[in-house]
Amino acid sequence: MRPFDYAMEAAQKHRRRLLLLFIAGNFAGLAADCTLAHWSIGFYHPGMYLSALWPALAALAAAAFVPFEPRRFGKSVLYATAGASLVVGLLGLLWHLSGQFFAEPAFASLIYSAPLFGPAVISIFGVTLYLYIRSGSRDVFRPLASVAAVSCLGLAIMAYQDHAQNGFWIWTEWVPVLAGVFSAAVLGFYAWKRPLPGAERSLVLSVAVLVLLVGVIGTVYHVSAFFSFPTPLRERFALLAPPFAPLLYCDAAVFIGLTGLWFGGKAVKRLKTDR
Amino acid sequence: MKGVKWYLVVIFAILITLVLFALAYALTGMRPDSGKSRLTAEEARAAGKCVQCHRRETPAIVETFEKGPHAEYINCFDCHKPLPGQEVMEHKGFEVVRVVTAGNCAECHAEEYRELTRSRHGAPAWTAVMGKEPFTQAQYDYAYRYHPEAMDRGPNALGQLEGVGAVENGCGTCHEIGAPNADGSVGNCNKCHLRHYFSVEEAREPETCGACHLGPDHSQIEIYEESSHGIVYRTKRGDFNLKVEPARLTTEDMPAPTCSTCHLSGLNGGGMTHDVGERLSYYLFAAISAERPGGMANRERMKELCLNCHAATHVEEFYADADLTLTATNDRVAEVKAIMDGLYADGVLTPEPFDEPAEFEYFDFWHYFVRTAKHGAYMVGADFVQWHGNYELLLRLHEFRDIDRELRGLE
Repeated sequence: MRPFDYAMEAAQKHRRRLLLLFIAGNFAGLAADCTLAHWSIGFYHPGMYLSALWPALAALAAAAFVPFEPRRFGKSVLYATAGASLVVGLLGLLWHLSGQFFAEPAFASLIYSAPLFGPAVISIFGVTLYLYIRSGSRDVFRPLASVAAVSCLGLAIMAYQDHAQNGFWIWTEWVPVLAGVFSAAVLGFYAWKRPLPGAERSLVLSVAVLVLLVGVIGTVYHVSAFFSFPTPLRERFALLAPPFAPLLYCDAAVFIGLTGLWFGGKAVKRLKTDR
Repeated sequence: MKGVKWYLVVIFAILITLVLFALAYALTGMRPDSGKSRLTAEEARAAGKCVQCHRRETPAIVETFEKGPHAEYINCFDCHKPLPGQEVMEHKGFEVVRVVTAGNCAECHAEEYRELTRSRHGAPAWTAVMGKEPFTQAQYDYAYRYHPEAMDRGPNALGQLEGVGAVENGCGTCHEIGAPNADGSVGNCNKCHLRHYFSVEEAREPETCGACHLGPDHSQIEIYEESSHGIVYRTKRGDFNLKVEPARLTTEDMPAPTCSTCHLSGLNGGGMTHDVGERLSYYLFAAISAERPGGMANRERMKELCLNCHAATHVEEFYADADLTLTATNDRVAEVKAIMDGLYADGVLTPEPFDEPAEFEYFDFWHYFVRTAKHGAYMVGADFVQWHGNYELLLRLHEFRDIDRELRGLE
């Protein structure tokens, strides 16, 4: 048994709890990210307040049920939270499009719109929350792996849009695009295959490490740019490379992917035994 | 699917990646040059997000800004950041000010702003056309400390008669160098440091000053071109280095002066200023030129500049000769003014301005020829002292004597 499997076994008891904690933590992170991003441009659209407030509320809702298993009322709250998150994310996507693309429907407008797939990550976590609720009684490996694959695709699209704005300044800006597509293809393929034997599991783990590395290195680049200009904080958020963007989808892809892996394979057998 | 080997999945994923990458790369390549050209480090530092759109929308703004000195230090938002009182424009999520004022410049160039606003390039330039009305009390009070004689006046009578179009597109275009701004500041630095270069080189070029200081009423650029200073500048332009930062400007960079050298710059370690009157001894623009406050101290400052190229005796002789022209010209104007005053006092002329030919004649007399003669004398423009100046003055003096007799019915 590999070290990862030991970790999986050890953590299995609290897997659902950790998944919910992860979702709550990400909603909280999104609340901070959306607040800072929209604060830098003065919250000039009412929808911007929604993007800042809703993830915070969703984080509280999810965190409230981390210590204990939600029952009927709790599940209703979490279902509502998941559904509303899906809607808020899609609304955000539309609002980001409305800034430029709806006014001038052209490829260039897509490039220069506000980050299109930024808000969609709220939807991603909405779906993940839904899958968390369903994981109590259903095998959610396949949908979780699919969400992870979509997150990888989100990483590729978001990186393409952001880096196309500055004409792919340096060649390394293509790396997250390539890594996102490659990871999406691998995860997308294995989303339909279960349980994963050793070699496949290692491949998925390698992809997760690859995406994580891309996210971390990207964050280092973005954050170093962020702190290297002597401009006021607000202007840095408005003008410079978005410091949290590289981790936005990498985080989702890696953790949702690993969780999916965890819910799959041997864990599934245990899940069936538990019932 | 069960029998698919992991390495086949990797190959499959790589193939998909390559295909999509090729598509994305081709799509990027198909974008117009303005969209796919990479930001330079300087661009990213200077313009950040702004350049991403403005390189497509208004490329000249980006290109000129990049070539100017500001690109090394600041970004677009540093200047376009709204100040209290300014009209804020919502722009792609940013709050910006469309028209940057001297107040914005003063955020970094405070001393230069103070010098500008205490000079006649400040509020007096605008009151000459629009009067004191557009100024706030604070703006008025500040300017009054330095130019009491120039602040208490109404809108220019000639401009009123010519109409709004003439004032807006004519006089106002130059005189707005001292216009009041909504943020409480006064002035428009952009008149000399044109956007978006904002280069010191541009401000040192005589053509920049000549955009306003030209024509019969203030023919400084024509006088300069005729002068030995202007001839050296024209014939040896290649030897000039006008890009040098102000504190390091030497006579090696400027073998002969441009307008800015004598009036603003510091040469060989000398102090510089943005107060265009700081080295001037008389109000040459006035019909009868009085000495400026501290005029002789100003003259000494100007002489320090002259001595970089000329012997002291030459400088003294030059000023003595120029002062002779000034005195003679003042006498001529005084004589004609006495004629005009007499005509008004005796009711021969109505008090309304510019409703009788004699008033236009008098305006031309001092506004064109008197000024030209004096400016020519102090700027080494012999032809302007003589043929465009004193000859015209003599001719018109005789004409005024005739006008006086004619209007009084003595002929």
